[in-house]
Amino acid sequence: MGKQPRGLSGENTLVVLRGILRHTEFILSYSDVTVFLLAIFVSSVLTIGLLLQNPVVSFLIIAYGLGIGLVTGSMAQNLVEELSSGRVQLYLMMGLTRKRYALSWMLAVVVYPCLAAFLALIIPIVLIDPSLFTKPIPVLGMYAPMPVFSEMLTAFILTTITAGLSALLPAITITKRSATVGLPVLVTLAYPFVAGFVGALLNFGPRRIAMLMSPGNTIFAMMVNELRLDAIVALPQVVLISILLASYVYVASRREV
Amino acid sequence: MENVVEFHSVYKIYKGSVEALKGATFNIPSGVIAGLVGPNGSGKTTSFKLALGFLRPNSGRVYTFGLDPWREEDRVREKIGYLPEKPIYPPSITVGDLLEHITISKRLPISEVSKVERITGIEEYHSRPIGSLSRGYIQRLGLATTLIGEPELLLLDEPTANLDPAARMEILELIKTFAEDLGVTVVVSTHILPEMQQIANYLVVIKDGVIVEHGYIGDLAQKYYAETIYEVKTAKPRSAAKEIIGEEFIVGLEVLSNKLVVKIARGTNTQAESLFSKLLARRVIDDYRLVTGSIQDLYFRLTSREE
Repeated sequence: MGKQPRGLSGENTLVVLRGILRHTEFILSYSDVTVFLLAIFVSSVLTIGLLLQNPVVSFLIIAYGLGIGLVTGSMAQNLVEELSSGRVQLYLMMGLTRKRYALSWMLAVVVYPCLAAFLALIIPIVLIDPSLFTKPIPVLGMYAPMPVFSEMLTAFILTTITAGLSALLPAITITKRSATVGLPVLVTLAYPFVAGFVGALLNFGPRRIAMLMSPGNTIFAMMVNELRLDAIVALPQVVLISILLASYVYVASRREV
Repeated sequence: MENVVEFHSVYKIYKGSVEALKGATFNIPSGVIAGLVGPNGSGKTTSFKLALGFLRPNSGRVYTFGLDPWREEDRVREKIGYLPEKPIYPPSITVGDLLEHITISKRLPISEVSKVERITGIEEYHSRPIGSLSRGYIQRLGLATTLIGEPELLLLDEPTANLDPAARMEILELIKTFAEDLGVTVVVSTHILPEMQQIANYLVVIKDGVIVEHGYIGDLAQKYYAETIYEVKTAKPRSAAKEIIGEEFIVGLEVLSNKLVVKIARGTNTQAESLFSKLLARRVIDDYRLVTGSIQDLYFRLTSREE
């Protein structure tokens, strides 16, 4: 019917991906540079902590986890703002489908902060001594042997992904700013049941189960060496992340704007 | 003529059981400037959002360019420029940055930005943050965003809302230019009827979620015996006006340099055309044609008929 519009026809996967990434960049350009600044700060302090073998390292990692949680929650509130103001319509008019729009937000709120966190934690180690990766890290100094940095990093990333997704899901579903805090709280309440159930099935002792019972606890437990991260311990978080991710993509692809 | 938009018995019910559309059936042919007119809350914006694939109908079928806009959203929207009623642009970024982002996202050359800025008269605001623009210029920016990529269809939701009279006139002129110079089908949703009179040739009347009537304005005016408007071409407009003005069925007459715009009373088309034929034979006038009907009269006849 009529002339062919210029620009968007004949899309392939690479082009679609570039479109998603371009919108992610756009979201980040006006929504938040805090992630970047936070990563630089953490990276700098971590470098000093590692050089001095100071227990501040463990405190820093826990504080960083909280900081990332706050930042991703605040970024998810920008999504609420876009949906409630109708600004989403502007972006959907630029060739983005509902699903691609949702994926670009996921990249901005989940993947980008995770990547920043990963780099912030890994760069100091690579620069100082790559073998530190497989060695125990300086923690609060109470217990021995200490957790290995690579395990800690994995637990940290899983927790960050969980926090980001559990902030995004209510943002796109309920479109209320307070909800971006609400679901993460709900997740921390619901997660213990899943993790506790898995732990019980695996014949974990009560103390180990208690330490499994929240994504945050997993990190803390590792800090105080109550737990080591292995496939079984990570499983409840991976399951939770999968459920959150699938729910988010499903809701986003059917959401009216 | 092909239809760019078709609604077939469309129902849209929002949460809380608010029925926004109740079995809406209408079509918009290609090439028209259509007015989607009705009171606030009658379902105009909902109709736009359904045509764009932003909403999914509860029942019935919507086709835009022959496609289901909910399922083939990107293929449909790439052919449409949409101006929402409320400004939705990020206030902190500049006019240029927004237009460039849209242009790049649509994989178009960056020269498109200066082109749409020129058409809509916002070139000098290129580097200004959107938050610093007046309502009129935000609306111009909105129109600029709709033109990127040379769309085939413009859906403009209350484009003159909250504008001062001068800005209203400017925006209406721009819309008319888009249709005439760019060959775009335009649908304007509004509850301000006199504005539609200036630009529209097709009408969709909606009230309480029900499509009251749709069609070419001239056809509707004749069908419902509404006041109609003729354009009479003449080299001697003053002489022709003298011949016409005395007739009882004339309710309005505008004298321009080489033509007359004549509004005639309801149901008097036969008498008017008989007069015009006589004047044509005497060479007082050179040509005449029914241009349109009085939208205001038509609207009130249609909506009071429903009541």
